[in-house]
Amino acid sequence: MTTFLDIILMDGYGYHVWSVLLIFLILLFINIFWVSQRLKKLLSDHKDLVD
Amino acid sequence: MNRSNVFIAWSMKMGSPPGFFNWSTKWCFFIGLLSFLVLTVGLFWGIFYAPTDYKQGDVYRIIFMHVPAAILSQSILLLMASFGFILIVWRAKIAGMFVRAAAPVGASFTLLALLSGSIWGHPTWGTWWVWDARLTSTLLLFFIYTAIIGLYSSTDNKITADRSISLLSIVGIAIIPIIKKSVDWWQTLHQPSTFSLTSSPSMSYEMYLPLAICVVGFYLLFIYILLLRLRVEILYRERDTSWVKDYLNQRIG
Repeated sequence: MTTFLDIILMDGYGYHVWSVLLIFLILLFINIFWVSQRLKKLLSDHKDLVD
Repeated sequence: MNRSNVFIAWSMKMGSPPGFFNWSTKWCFFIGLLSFLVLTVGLFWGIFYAPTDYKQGDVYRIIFMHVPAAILSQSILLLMASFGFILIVWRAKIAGMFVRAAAPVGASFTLLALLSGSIWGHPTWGTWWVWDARLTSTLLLFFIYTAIIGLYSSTDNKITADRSISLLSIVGIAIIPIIKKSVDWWQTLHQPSTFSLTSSPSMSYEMYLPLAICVVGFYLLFIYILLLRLRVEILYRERDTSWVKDYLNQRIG
């Protein structure tokens, strides 16, 4: 019977595939985070200017 | 109004920062959602349901991220060079912002292609890295992106910076045919191109179809991240204009 662990580990090289997926998600997060931080700074600068 | 006039009017609207910003407000969420759905289907299909490769086993599933990232790493530079050309010839301000916003995204996808290739290479080639023509030329592409990002940051004059990075993007596209043809021109460990416009796919359709879906998903994701970056870039550059001040006032309530 195929268990969840079998699916995750695949034929023993599953961690290679998952590590690539993880790198992809980290790079995606960095890109989105950068945008949100820059927008946050822009808004706080504008708020300081208005105040 | 005839078609060419409609196109010119649309181009003028898209070429102006407020016009583009308003247009992207409507489309950004939709493109983000679509990229998420397409990528989820493609990756889920590729990782869990596509058949196992008879030679490489399951490790070949890295292809569903590696190939789209590699395709995008080259497409983004081509797109940047096109917009760089538009900036230099027609001096459209938005084109410079596009080049600036796309460079870090291009660098991210190139880094993903390099790292995923390295992780894939370890079990299949027995090494993390070789100074192979395809790998080395892709590494050079990554350096071109970092040079573009560095060059932009090195000057405070954004008009000069835009023109400089546009010029570097145009010069930089010389690397694209070298990357593309590296597997044909030199003896390499890297396999020949997976996607070809002139021949039928070399893999079974059960593998090719999720790969094609992943490529579409990666393109949509690129458009989404680019729109997010471009919107912030527009707000930064135009922060002294009344329309941006109104927008920011609305955001801070």
